[in-house]
Amino acid sequence: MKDKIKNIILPVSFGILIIALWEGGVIHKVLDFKPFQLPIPSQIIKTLGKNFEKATLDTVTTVNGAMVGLVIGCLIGFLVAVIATQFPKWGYTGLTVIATFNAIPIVALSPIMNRWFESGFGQKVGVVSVVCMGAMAINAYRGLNDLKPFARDLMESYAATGKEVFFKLRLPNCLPSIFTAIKINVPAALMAAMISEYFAASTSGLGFGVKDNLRKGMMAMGWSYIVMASLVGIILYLLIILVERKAIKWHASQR
Amino acid sequence: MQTAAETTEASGELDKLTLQLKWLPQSQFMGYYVAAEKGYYEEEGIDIEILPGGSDIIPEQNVYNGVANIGVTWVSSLMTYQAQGYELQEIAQVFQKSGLLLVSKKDTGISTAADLTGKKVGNWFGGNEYEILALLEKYKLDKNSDLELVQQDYTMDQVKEGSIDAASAMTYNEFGLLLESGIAKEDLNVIDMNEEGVAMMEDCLFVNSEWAAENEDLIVRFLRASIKGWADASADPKAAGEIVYNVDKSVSLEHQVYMAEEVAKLVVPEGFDPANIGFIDMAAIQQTADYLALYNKDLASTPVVDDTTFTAKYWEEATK
Amino acid sequence: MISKKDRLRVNIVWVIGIFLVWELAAFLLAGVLKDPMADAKLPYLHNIILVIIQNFGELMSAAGLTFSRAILGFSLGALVGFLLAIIMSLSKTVEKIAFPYLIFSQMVPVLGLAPIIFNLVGDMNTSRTIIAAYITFFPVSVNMLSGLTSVENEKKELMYSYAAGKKSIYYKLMIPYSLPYLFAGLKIAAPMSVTASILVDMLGSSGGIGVKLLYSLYSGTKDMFWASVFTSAAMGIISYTIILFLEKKCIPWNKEVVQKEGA
Repeated sequence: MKDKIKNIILPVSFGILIIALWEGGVIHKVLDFKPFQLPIPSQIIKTLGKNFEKATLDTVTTVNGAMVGLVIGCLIGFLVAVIATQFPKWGYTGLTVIATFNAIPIVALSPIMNRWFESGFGQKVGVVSVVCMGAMAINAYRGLNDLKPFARDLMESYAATGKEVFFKLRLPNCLPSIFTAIKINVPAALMAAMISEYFAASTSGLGFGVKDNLRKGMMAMGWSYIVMASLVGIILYLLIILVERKAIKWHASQR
Repeated sequence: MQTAAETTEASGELDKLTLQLKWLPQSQFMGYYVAAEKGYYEEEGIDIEILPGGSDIIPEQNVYNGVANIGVTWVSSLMTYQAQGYELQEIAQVFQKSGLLLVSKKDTGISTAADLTGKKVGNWFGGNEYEILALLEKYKLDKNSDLELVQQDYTMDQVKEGSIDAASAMTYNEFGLLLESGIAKEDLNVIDMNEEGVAMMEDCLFVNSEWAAENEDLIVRFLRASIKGWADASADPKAAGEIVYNVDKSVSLEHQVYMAEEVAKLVVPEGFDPANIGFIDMAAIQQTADYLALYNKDLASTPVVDDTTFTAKYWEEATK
Repeated sequence: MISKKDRLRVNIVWVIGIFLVWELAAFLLAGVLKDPMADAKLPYLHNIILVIIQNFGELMSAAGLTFSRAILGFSLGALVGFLLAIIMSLSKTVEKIAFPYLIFSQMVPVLGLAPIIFNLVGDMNTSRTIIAAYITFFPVSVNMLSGLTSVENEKKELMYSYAAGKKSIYYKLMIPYSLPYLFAGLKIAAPMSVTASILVDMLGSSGGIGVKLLYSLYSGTKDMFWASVFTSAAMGIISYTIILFLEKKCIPWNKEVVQKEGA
């Protein structure tokens, strides 16, 4: 119990320290910034307060798209990993193909998706799905195949079928990797959704808020959107960690 | 180019100067490329470096940070930064007119701005939307309820495929792209911000005020060379387009020349004396400031239009 | 066990398969559905290849510039990610403090970051490398950390019982054990470093695939746009393959790698 309190207090107090230094102008002095280049926290909060209703709506728009895309992307990625595992000869190349998608910049992906989907939502989901596939495929593949030495031999000596090896050995072994992939994908999905909004045919979403305001030099407003995005990112991340704790209690990383 | 390089090596005492463009190298900035190509900057003792812009490049930031000495931006954008407290000042107004159009296909039935009711209208936002907002205000259209104002991407595909009814287009760029993609001029309706009286000033040159105070002579020399470059470019846009094309071949020569011709009309409009290139029309600047104050409700303070923010003295010295 | 010859044959079949499926889809779109935007949605693959061949020199020099910057950004980012993971695994306290802020760091878009970095560094080229590294470090860090924390306590205890110091536990147990995790992270990060490098091309660089992409997008030259997308994807494959190769060299004991690659 003591540990749990420590887990919360430490990062929070570190955050408070940073915010205090930032608010007090220490960071600005050290880095030689003017307050209008990097707004101070109280200014950001004040701006956020004034614009809270719209900022919340924008957050919901972005998070919706990011989550739907995340789920689709992760499913596809996982499927590819399973195929690559079950059919090592023919499926393995699929991993390379999927990894390739990670090298298509979002800036290029967004206009392509703009052509495919008329709605801003569809475009966002398309972009996020593509971005999330790679990390899941690679991590899930490692989890499905990086088995404990002799575990498979043992199973096989019991005359376990391929199906049994998969469900009883590979799949549980893969769970921690799936969580690793989701942990990478959560911020990536939010970021991809935001960047796709730079180009989307709509004027809502966190990404639009960031781009529109930063370009106009409305720094405090722009940063208030960045703060919203970060908060959502951290909350989602904590949720994942919570689920992870429940799901893979047995794993070394949780002890 | 060869001779230019040689002089640089020979004298070795040129003042280094960096110019931050607002966007990629294209005929929109032909005056500077022509001046560099013809050695006008060297004649003034300047070793110029032209930095291209990009999607995440903000000229105001770079000039303020000192990454660049002089920047090209839109007046309305400059004003928002000035209102935030950035000590930046305009030193010359390159475009005398607005280049912004609202373009729609004839079959959407938008012949005047009043017809925009219920339509999907595109703009790039990020500070480019104020003229559109002023236009809507003029026709008593509410930007939230009477029509759908959406963001358009860099391409003109949305108007072509019909997912946007009316799209913003610069005379010198997107409008040309639309024509080049095979749509006839007769099939398009065009709303011109100048004719509607809602024009805001666009490309201008600006500097960091603190830096300017220490480099007054350098600024004057830079302006003299740049104005000469712009005069040449506007007189012979075809040659200017070719010079720009040789800097960056990503866009076809035809498009660069088209752009050069259209840009020339903004730099030297009909009846404008080419000797006055770069003149700061304070009345037009004031109108820009007024619209900005009206349509950017979150502006930190009312834009200040006087000779601390819009300084004609360098230009006057350079054109003497 | 799959022999090298088999692997080559499989890859060839894949390439041909993708080509055929793509061509068929493009034909359906343009020929059967008569989609007016077919050349923007999915142009014929042979057209793209043709454009790439026609502009090969130009594309390659742009790709070279982007790739060299990607390697620089990747190396820096991977190193930072690796070190961060080690530090976090050494001290739970540091991990608890740092992790939420790592997420925060991932949520600051380049648009917000760039002016700050420019102001700090003052030099565009250095700034670009730093930004590319900044985008790359996260997956490396997360994967490496989950590798380090996955080492069973029994193993650590065994090492302790041999009176091994913290340093030698790391050298002999933790790091080797985490290598497969690290490489999984590197495999994700490598193509990402290419994207990052393309993104920083757009920060006012005078060359590189990013500039090609942006310019072709902006000027509506679709074939050049798709050719650039392909070039960036190809760079992604190359970077991924380099990591695969390094993985084979670095963890020869990894049974799966040996098996799959059919050494």
